[in-house]
Amino acid sequence: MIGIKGIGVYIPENRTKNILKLKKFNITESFLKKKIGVLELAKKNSGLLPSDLCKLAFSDLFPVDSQRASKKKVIDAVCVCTQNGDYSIPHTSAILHSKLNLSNDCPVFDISLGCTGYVHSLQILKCIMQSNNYKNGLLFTCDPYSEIIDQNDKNTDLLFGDAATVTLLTNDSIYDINEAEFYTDGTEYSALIKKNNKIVMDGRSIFNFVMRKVPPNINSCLKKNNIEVDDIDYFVFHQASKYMVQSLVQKMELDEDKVPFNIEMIGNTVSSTIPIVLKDLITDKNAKNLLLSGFGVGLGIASVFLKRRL
Amino acid sequence: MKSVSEKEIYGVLEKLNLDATIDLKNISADESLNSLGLDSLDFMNLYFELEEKYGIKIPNELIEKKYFDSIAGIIKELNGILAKTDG
Repeated sequence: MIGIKGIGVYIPENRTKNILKLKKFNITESFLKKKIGVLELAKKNSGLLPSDLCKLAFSDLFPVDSQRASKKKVIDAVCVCTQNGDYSIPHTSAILHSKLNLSNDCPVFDISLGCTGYVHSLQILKCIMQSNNYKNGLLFTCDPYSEIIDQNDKNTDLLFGDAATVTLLTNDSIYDINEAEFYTDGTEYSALIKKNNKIVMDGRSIFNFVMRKVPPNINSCLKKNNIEVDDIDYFVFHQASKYMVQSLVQKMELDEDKVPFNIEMIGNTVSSTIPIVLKDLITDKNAKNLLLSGFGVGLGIASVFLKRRL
Repeated sequence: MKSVSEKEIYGVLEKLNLDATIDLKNISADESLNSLGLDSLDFMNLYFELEEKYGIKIPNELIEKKYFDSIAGIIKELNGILAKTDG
């Protein structure tokens, strides 16, 4: 079975500090820390394109030059999950193909999804690899919102950061990718939308959607995979905000020690939030059964069960 | 026709996991919840819990007019929505 072998992450060094925006948005430091949960936002250098961030994530996954060179020759397929690529045409994965100097036999494609994108893309890439007997696939996530944020919008300017990740999928994996459960409500598409090149977010609609629809989606995913809630070692939720994650923990009566939250110093990096959490769990042998759940733009939900191989 | 009680609204507020500094036991029905310390996310959760409990949808227009800023205001607005729902 195709599964997850390793993850590389690139987070820009530049930061903007949310503590400097308290007066602008008329909020307290307590609200920032306890509810938003984001103190600093990672911001990419304006000269870097998403394909550049992806390439830097690849260097994190394969830090040794010779290893990188040999790996490039054996990559069978590449997927880039982004809604803010280098250009609208061509696909960012084509540009990345050039920057990584990959084989001409390697198919590349973009997936236009946001917060659910990592889970969707795991399933899609896994299926393409299994159908074609591919051995090594790369799934990149990179959705740098910094260039499309309205700096006067309290709903978004405190929240989103930039990052890129890459996940290596192989048939010699650490985590098997099992069955997923999806949910889409396209009637709510306008709750998170880019208009006039700026992101506009209806927090209330998204909150209501997540609270109503994510718990049953997760429960369906667990049932589909014949696993109980108590058997899950970690719930890797999309890191939307501290309040959103805590609200889900409360609603589902989960043990909060099983629900990581790690975006205080980087922000919500859209489709990169889940793999950034996952990278830390890969080296934890106690992290055997994982339930990943992405939710947001669309509006949509995608949950999947990962099982560590013995 | 169902009528909303103060006790029910206190019950919803208790579910919200509010900041420990907000003393729900000693607030009066007319006190401003915002001035007591409920923030925008607390209110968002409050609207959600009210919608779930009463099977209604609270229109954005009512929220923008800040009619839900006190227990008395919540009761008045909910009773109005429920009356329209009952027809």
